[in-house]
Amino acid sequence: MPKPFPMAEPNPVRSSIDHEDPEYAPLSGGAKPEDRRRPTKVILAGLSVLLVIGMMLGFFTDTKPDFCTQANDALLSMTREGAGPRSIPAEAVVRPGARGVKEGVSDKSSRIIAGVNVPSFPWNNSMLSWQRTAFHFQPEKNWMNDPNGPMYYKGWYHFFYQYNPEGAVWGNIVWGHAVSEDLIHWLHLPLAMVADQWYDVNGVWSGSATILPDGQVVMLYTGSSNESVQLQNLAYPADLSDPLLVHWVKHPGNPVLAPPPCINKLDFRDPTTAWYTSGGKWRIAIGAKINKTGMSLVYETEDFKNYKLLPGMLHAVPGTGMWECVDFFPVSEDGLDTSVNGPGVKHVMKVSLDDDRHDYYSIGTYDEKANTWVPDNPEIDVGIGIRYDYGIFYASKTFYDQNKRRRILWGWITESDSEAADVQKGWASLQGIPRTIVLDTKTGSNLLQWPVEEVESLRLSSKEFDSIEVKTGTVVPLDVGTATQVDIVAEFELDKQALGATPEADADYSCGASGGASQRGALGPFGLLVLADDGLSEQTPVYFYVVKGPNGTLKTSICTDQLRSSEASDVVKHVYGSFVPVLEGEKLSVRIMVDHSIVETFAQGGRSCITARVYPTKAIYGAARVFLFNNATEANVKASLKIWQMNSAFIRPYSDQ
Amino acid sequence: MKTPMLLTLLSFTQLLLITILPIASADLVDDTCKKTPYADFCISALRSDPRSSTADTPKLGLIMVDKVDTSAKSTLTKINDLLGKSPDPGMKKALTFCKESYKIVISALVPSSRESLSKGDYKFAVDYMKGAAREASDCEVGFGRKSPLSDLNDYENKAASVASAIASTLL
Repeated sequence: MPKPFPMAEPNPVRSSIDHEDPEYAPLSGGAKPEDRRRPTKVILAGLSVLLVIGMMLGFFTDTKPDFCTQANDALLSMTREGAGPRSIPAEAVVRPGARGVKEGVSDKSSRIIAGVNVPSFPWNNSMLSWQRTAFHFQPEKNWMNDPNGPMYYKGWYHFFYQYNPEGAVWGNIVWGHAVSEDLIHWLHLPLAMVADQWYDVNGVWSGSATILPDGQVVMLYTGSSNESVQLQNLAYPADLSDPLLVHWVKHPGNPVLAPPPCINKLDFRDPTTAWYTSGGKWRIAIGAKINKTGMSLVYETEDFKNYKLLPGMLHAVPGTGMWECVDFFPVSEDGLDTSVNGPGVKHVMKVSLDDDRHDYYSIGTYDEKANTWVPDNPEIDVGIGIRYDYGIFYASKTFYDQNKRRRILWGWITESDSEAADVQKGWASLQGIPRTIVLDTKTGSNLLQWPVEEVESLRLSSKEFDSIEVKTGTVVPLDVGTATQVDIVAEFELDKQALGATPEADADYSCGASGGASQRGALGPFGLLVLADDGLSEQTPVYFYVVKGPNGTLKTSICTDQLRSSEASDVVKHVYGSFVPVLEGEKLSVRIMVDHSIVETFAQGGRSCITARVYPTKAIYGAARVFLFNNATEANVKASLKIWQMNSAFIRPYSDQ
Repeated sequence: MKTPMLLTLLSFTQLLLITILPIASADLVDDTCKKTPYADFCISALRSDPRSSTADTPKLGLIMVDKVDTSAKSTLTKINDLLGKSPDPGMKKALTFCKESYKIVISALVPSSRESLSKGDYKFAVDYMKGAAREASDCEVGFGRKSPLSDLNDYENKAASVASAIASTLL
């Protein structure tokens, strides 16, 4: 039997150079007289000729290496100094939050009290139904996860989301849909897309919208196919004249993209909104990983049906694992359309890390020609530096709101109670209040996030408190009545004399590693107690903690403390938070939105944000109060604040009436 | 002539691969179980299923989820059995609580974990199997010291913890 010719040679050049027997060099003329396997030699010679011709053709038609050919080399050259398991990065202008214990979505490590497992809490319907929010987006029931395809179109903000029509846990995923004229008052519409094609029958997963200059709307999304391959698909509105965009059509030529050969078929998902290049083409990014290196692939297209995978990766960071929900957009002190580019324009690279369920972003520079994005500060590269939010906030996605010329951020807020409680109450997950995103021009190294101004239309009555002195070790009740739906804006000032007199601290502070609000320091903690009952048997402190460093420098942390948030033991009880930059002359300021089982905190105008889920058993309904507190040992604090009662957003199904 | 030698080499390699492959998979069982909190339990549970010899890591996770499912169903049967025997109020309360816990494991946590492992979005299996382990240990604690379900709850806790850990290695 003739020796099989190695047709599958990865490098055709090598096979002709390293041909085993020099007697059989390709292109040689006649056969050797002693040769008894002449037919085989002829075949071999012929095939070698073809190979060489093919190689030459290849050389002249495409000198650029393709993505997969380059990928492994690129990864090898990517070893950073001290790379490997992600280490806590060095001090930067904006020091990232304490990493502490790896938090799972429903990590219940705090449940073990005194070494004994305590049984889960007997939740009743009253406690569970209280948990539903008044003005945060959530479907009427069942499970929700990632935000999808947000956009503004013909007078309506559209919001799509990962939804399980069959239960309060993840699975059977389809696209839910809702519309709003103001990002706050949402109206539920029918499901936009269900799992009815072979290429998405196992899940209509996440994706993004692109609005083209001619008004067309293009939706790209990941489908989990009948063989569980992650494929990218195109969909578009059935009727562009319908401002509600109720019906959607899947492109008959789907899928438009399959995983490239060097990418695992299960590591290829969440296409971004497209941006238009100076070369007149559209580009999208898709997250993937090779081994433990997370990366974003970039595809170029003109019609959203045919794509070319560009060589190189927009960016990759070793050790970060799978990059989900990649987002890539230009940023300035104003909102910018996704296609904006030019010298001096900064671009944000954002990823959701599967490994730790957190969203990270980094600010850097985009080189369109080279298809690269480089962080301004590699110490806080994407995945190892700054997070959008130091609590629960994942799979987030921005869109450019051309109506009000701002960039808006959506984020999925999952539950941190038990799955059993979710099944019992019949629903799980919220979306955060949409936030505007701009570059913090004062620090230059982080973004500012702030709840969209439309949420203020929910403000009802308010109460103002001016210059309240909160002495060390005291709690001050704030008489605002029931505090389950409130918007709080507060400013704090530490007593200057005490500040000056306090000696340098001997250690840094980390919210996650601390004992929360009951751990006293010289200059903290102080702040507010929300979802607290009169007897303070349940309380959720949101507080500042200031530490004096060398040369009198002050370092401030903002934390949300769940340690005593509920008597129930089957809920997560962490202290979330991070360092927050406070510039010369700035007072300590914080905004806290409480909406039943969610507490959203924004410090220093949105430099640092914390979203927490809170599940009290007593501090609910009319028993929920708010207090000021100061648990510092050395410094009194002056607080000025305004608290508004918040109306419901009456989120409900759309009806023509 | 090189050809007969190459042919021999090829055949030998083929033979080697055929023998190595099952050993490689058995190593995968060992390697994977090392990364779980109950390695010995993991190894014996997986090896008891013939599919484990040719399974990749996600399939090992699925095998483990099958164990969680089967055990949960047995436990539910036993609970119903015990409830039918007119237990005292304390025992009845604990059994009823366990019944709800195991029903949730079977109806919600197992199917989602299966979907997560087979479709490649592994974080849900990590969390939901952790949740299943907690349901089992909560059930056990509810009895105080006189649990009639100790062995079953212990098995469930271990199996679910191992399944969660296996899914974790895939992130």
